[in-house]
Amino acid sequence: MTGDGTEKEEESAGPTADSPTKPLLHSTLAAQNLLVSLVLVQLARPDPNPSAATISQTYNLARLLQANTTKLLNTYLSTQGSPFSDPGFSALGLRWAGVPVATFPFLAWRTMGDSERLARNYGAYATFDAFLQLVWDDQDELCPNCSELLAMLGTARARTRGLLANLTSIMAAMGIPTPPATDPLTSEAAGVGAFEKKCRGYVVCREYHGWVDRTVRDFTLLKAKYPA
Amino acid sequence: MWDNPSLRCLLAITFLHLLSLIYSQETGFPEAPENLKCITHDLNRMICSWDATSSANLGLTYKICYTNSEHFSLVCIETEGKRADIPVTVGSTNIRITTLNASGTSLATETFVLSEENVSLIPLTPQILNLSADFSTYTLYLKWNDSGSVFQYELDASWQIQILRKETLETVALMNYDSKLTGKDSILSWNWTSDIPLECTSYYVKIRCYINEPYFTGRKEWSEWSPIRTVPEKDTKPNSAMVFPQDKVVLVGSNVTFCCLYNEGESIKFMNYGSKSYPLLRLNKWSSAIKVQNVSASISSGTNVWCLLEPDGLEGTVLFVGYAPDTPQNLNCETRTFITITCSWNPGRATALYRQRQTKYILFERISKENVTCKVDELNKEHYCDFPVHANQKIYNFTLGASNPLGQAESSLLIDVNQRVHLETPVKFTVSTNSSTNAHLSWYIPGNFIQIRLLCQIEISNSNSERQLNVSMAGAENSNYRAWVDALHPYATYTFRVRCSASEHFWRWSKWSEEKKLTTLEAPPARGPAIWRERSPVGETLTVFWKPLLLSEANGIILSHEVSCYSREIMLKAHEVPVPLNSTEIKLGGNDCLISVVAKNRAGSSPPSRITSMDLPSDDVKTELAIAAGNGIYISWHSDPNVTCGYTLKWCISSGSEPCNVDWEMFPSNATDAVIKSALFQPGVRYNFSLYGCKHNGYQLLQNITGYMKELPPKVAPNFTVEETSSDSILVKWEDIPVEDCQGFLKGYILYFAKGEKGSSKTSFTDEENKTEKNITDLTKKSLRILDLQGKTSYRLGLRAYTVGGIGPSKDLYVVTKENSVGLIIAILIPVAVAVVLGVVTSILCYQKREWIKETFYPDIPNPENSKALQFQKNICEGNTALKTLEMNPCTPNSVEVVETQSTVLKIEDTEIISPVADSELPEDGSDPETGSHVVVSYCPPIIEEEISSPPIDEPVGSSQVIYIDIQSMYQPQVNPEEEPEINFVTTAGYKPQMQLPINAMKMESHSPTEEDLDKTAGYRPQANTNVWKLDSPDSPISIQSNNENGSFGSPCSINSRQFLIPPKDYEDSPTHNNTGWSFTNFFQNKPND
Repeated sequence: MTGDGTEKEEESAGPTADSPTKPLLHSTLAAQNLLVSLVLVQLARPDPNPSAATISQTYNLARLLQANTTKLLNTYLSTQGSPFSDPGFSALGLRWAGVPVATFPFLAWRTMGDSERLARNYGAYATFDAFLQLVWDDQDELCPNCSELLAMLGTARARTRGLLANLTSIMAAMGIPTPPATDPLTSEAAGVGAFEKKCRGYVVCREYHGWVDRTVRDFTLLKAKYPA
Repeated sequence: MWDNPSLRCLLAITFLHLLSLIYSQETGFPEAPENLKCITHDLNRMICSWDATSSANLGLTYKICYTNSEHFSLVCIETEGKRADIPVTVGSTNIRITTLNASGTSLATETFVLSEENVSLIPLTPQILNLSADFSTYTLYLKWNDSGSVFQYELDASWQIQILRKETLETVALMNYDSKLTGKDSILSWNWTSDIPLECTSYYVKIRCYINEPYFTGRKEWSEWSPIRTVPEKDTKPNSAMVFPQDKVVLVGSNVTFCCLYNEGESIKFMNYGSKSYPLLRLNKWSSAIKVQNVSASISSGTNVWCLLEPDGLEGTVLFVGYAPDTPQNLNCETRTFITITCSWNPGRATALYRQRQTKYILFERISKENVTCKVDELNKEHYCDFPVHANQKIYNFTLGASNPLGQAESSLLIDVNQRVHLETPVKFTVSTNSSTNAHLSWYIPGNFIQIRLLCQIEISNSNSERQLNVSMAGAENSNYRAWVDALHPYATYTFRVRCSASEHFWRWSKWSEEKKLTTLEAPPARGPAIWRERSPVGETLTVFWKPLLLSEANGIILSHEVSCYSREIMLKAHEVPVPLNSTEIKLGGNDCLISVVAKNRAGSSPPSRITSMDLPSDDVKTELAIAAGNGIYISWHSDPNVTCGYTLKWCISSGSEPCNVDWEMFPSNATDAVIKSALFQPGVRYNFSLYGCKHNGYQLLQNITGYMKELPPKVAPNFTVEETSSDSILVKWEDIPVEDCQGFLKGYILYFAKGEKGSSKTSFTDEENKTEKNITDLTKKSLRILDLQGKTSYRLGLRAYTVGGIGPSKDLYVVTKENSVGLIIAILIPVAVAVVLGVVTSILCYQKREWIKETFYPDIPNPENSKALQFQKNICEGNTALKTLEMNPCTPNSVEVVETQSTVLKIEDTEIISPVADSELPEDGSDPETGSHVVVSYCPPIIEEEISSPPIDEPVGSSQVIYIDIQSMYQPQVNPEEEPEINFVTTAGYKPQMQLPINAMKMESHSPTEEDLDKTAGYRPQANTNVWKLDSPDSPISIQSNNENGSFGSPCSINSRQFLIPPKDYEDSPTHNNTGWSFTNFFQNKPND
C-alpha cells in the first residue's frame, strides 16, 4: 500500500502538461518519499512508451485514492445521522441520476479497448469532480462543523483533478481525444431536500469508491500492457 | 267605501263565514292540499309548499289566496306546482289553497292559518368562493360570500365549517365562526392549521350558515351544507415516494407528525425518526404517518425521518430541531479607530441551527436609522458586527436584532462613541537613547483620534524594578506617537512596552505593545569605593584595600582604580590598579599620607574615597569574645569619646592556603555594637576581628574580638592519658584541643568512668547505667585524679570536651587498678598471729593446769563415772537434743550385740567417743535400757549420702533420710509468696561489698538516705538472721563447697550443726562469699563476681 490515509493534503498531486516530470506525490511519509524516488528513477530511464511512466504514476495515485475513499465514505456516513450513521448501513438500491456507476460486465470490461477504458475513466472522474463539489456544498450547508468531512471531500476533489490531468496526459500521448466537457449536473440538483442531499452525497461517495477500485484495476491492466 | 270601519268589520265576518263554509264543505276530497310548510331565506318572502294527492287527472292547478297584510286585500295566485311564494308576515297569515282541475273547476279548497312560529328561517346555502392551502404551514385558507345583501339590515350570522380528510371523509374539525351581516355582501375568510402535513392526505371543506334574528319568532335553522370543496394539490406533485414535512425547522419539545407517501405497488415496512421506529398511523392507501412527541435538539445536519418501502426504497426528510435565538448577551460597542464601531456580543444559548437556518443578526441604529446585517459565524462563541462612525454623531443607540425560523430576540445599547475608545495595540514600537539616563520611545496607532486626547502608559522594568509612566498626548490620525523617559539608571538594561487609551473618558487599555530592550549609556561611578588600609608590621608599606562598587553604583564597567597618596594636598604618588585587583601596596617611606582611591569606568572617575595612613599606637589591647548570633557574629564594644570619625571593624577570612581576604565594616562614632554578617562566614570557624577607632589624627586599634558565627560541638575528643594508677585511684591527664577543632569556645570537659572491660558490648557511655561523670569547668586544669576506686578492677574512662554548641566526641580508655598489697599482708598476718597467740596461751594454761588435766583425762585409775570430759560430752549431746534447730535424730543407733560374754577390752578412745552417744541415744530410742549383759555399741553412719541413696523401705533408714528432708523443708518456706518481695529486695540489693561505699562517696551526686538504708540492709547480716540463711539454697555453690569441705564429720553433733555452729566471724571472713578485690577469694580468683 502506498498510502495509509494519514498523509497530508496534496493539492498539486497530478502532473501538469508543462511539467510532466514533476513528482506525483508530496508527502512527509517515508513510504511516499520512497515512491517519489522510484518514480524519479523510472523517469530517468529511456522510455519506449511516453505514456508508460504516467500510467504508472496514475496507478499509484489511484492506489492512494483507494485507501482514502473508504475513509471518506465512512466519515461521510458517520456525520449524516441515522440511518446513514447506523453500523453496517448500506442502501445499494439508492441511485442518483448522473452519478457514474462503476459496476460493469466483466467480459466487456476485460476486452475493452484502451481508448474506451481511458475515456470511461475520464468521463467518470469528470462527473465525480462536479459531484464532489456539489456534495461539499451540500455538507457545508448541512453540517458546517463537520470539518474533517469537508476537508476530506476537498482532498478527494483535488485528487480527482490530479487523476483527470493524468488521464488527459495519457490520452494525449496515445492520441485519444478527450470527451467534450459536459455539465453533469442538471438544474434539479439545487432544489432537493436535505434528506435527498444526504442520499446523493452517499451515492456519490459510494460510487466514487467503486470507481476508484475500478480505476486501480484498469491501470493494473494498462501497466501490464505498457510496462515502463 | 273601505274606509268605513263598520263596513270593514262586516266584510271580514262575511269572509270568515264563507271560509268556514268552504272548509266544512270540501274536506274529505283527495285533491285537498295538506301539510302546509313555509320557509324563508330572507325574512321577506317565504316559500310555502304543501302536499296534495295527484289523481290521474293531470292538469291540476292550485289557487292560493291570502290576505295582503299591507293593503289588507285578498291576493290570489295560481300555480301549477305545489308551492307558492308569499310574503312573510308578522303574526298569522290565512292561506286558502284551492285545487282546480284543468277546466278550472274547483275540486277542493283548503284554508290554512299560518302563524309566524310555523315559518322556518333557513339561510341560503353558502358557497365557498376560494379554498387554498399553504403546505409549509399546513394551513387551509377559506373564503366565502356571506350574502349579507339578502337582508337589508345588520344581523348576526354563525358559520359552521367542517374539515374532512381521507377518502373516507372522516371529520377532522368542525369549527364555528361568527360574523355580522351588514346588509351588503361581504367576503369572509377563515383559516385552519392541520396537525399533519397537508400533503399527507386529501382534505375537504364544507360550510353552512345560521342567521340569528332575535325578533323573528319562527323557527331558525342551519342552512344546507355548501358543496364539498377539495384542498388543491401541491403544484409540484412528487412522482416518487416522499416524506413530509420536508426540511422543517421546529422548536425543541414540539410534537411533529410525519407522513410517508408512496406510490402504487409499494408498501411501507417501517418509519423511523432518527434511529427510533414509531408506530404507523395509516392515513390512506398510499400514506402512513408517525407522531413524534417532544422532539429534542438535532445534530447540525438535522434529524433524519425516513421510511423504508417495499420492495426497495428509502425515502426521508430532515427535521431541524432547535431553539429560538437567545437574547444577545453582553452587547458591547466600542471603536478602535473612529472609523467603525465594533459591537460584540455573546449569542447565549446555541440554537442548534446552522447556515440558512442559523440566527441572523441585524444591527440597527435608531438615531441615524441605519442598519447593517451582521455576518457572524455561528460556530464562534463571540460575535462581532461593525457599524460605520458618522461624522458629527457622538451618540449611537444600537438595537441588535436576532432572528431565526423559530423566533427573534433583541438587545439595545446606547453609547457615546468618545467614551468607548478601545485603541488598537501600538505597533512599530521603538526605543532609543543617547544618554545614560534618558530614552526616546515611538509607536504607531492606526485610527483617527484628532478629536480626543490619548493617555499612554509606558512600563519600564529591569531586573529589580518596575515602574509605569503615564503620558498624555493629543490624538492624531494614523500617526506615530512619541514619548521621552528620564531618570533611568546609567548602564542599565530596561524593558519597555506601551499601551494607550482615551485620556478624557477612560474606557479600556489597548493591549500591550511588544517589548523592547534598551541599555542606557555608561556614566562615571556614583561614589568612591569603600576603602581600608593596613600597615605592615614594620610600618614601611601600607596595603590599601577597596571593595568593588555595586552595579548600581558603578554606572558601567569598572576598568581600574587609581590609588594616590596625598600629603598636605600634594600628591606624592599615584598608580592605577586594573580590575579585578582590589588592593595595592604603597611604600610610605616613613611619611604618613592621605590615601585617595578613585574607581574609573569608560565614562569617567568616581569621587575619591580618602583614608589616612596614620596609625595611632595602642596599648593594652584586649581580646574579647563575640557572641554567635546564628546568622552572624554579634560584636559590642565600649564607646570611646575620642573616636570622632567612626569605628572600623576589620576581619580576614582565609580560604584554604591563600592569604586571607581582608574585609571590613565601618560604623558611626555612636555605634557600640554590630552584627557582622557575611556569606563567607561558616559555622564552627573562629574569626578574629580588630576594632579600630577613627580619631582625628589616625586610626587606633582598640580591641581584638574573637567569635563564631555559630558554635558547634568540638570536632575531636581531647587527647588524654592515664598517668598513674593505684589500687583505688587513677590520675588522668589530657591535652588541649586545637583551636580549629574546637568549633566554639571550649566550656569544659566531662570525664566519664565506669567499671568495664575492653571488648564489652557497650559502645558508649550513654547507655552505661553505672557510669559516673565529672564535669571539669576549669579549663586550666589538665589532670584529674579519680579516687575511691576498687583495686584490681578494670575501668572504662571517657573524656569529652564541650562548647555552647554541644558536647564533642568521646575518647575511651580502659584501666585496671592495682591490687591492694597491704590488705593482703594484713589478711595473712592476723590469723597467723592469732594462731600463735592462741597456741602460746593454750600451752601456758596447759602447763599451769597440767595436774588437773592429767587427773581429768589421764588418771591413773580411769573412772568413767567421774569422767568430766565424758560428762561434758553427754551434756552437750543432751543440749543438742534440746535444740530445736533440726528436728531429726541424726544418730539412729544400730545395735551390735556382742554375744560373747568375755568382753574385749575396749580402747579408751573408743569408749570415750562411742559410749556417751550410746548413753544419750538409748532412752530416746526406746530400746531396752537394761542391756547390762550386752555390750551395745552405737554409731552414727559416717556418710549420710550413702544412707540417702539406699531405698527408703525400713524405718531406720527412713529416719536417717529425715536429715535431708528437713534441710529441704527449711528451704521450702522461701518460696512463700508473702516473703517474695523481701527476697526480691534482697536479691536486687544483693550482698554489696563494703568497698562500694567509698566509691559512692566519690559520686558527683550525694546518696539519698534511702539508698544508704538499702546499702545497710543489703550489707552483711549476722547468722542469727534466719532470713539470710534462707537465701542460701542447698545447691548453691557455697553450700556445695561447704559440703565438700565438711564431707566427713567427726561426730554426730557436728553433722547436726555443720552450718549453725560456724562462728559468725568466720563466715563473714569466708572467702567464698566475698567478692571484694582484696578478699581471700580474689587472692585465688581475679575476676570479680558480678
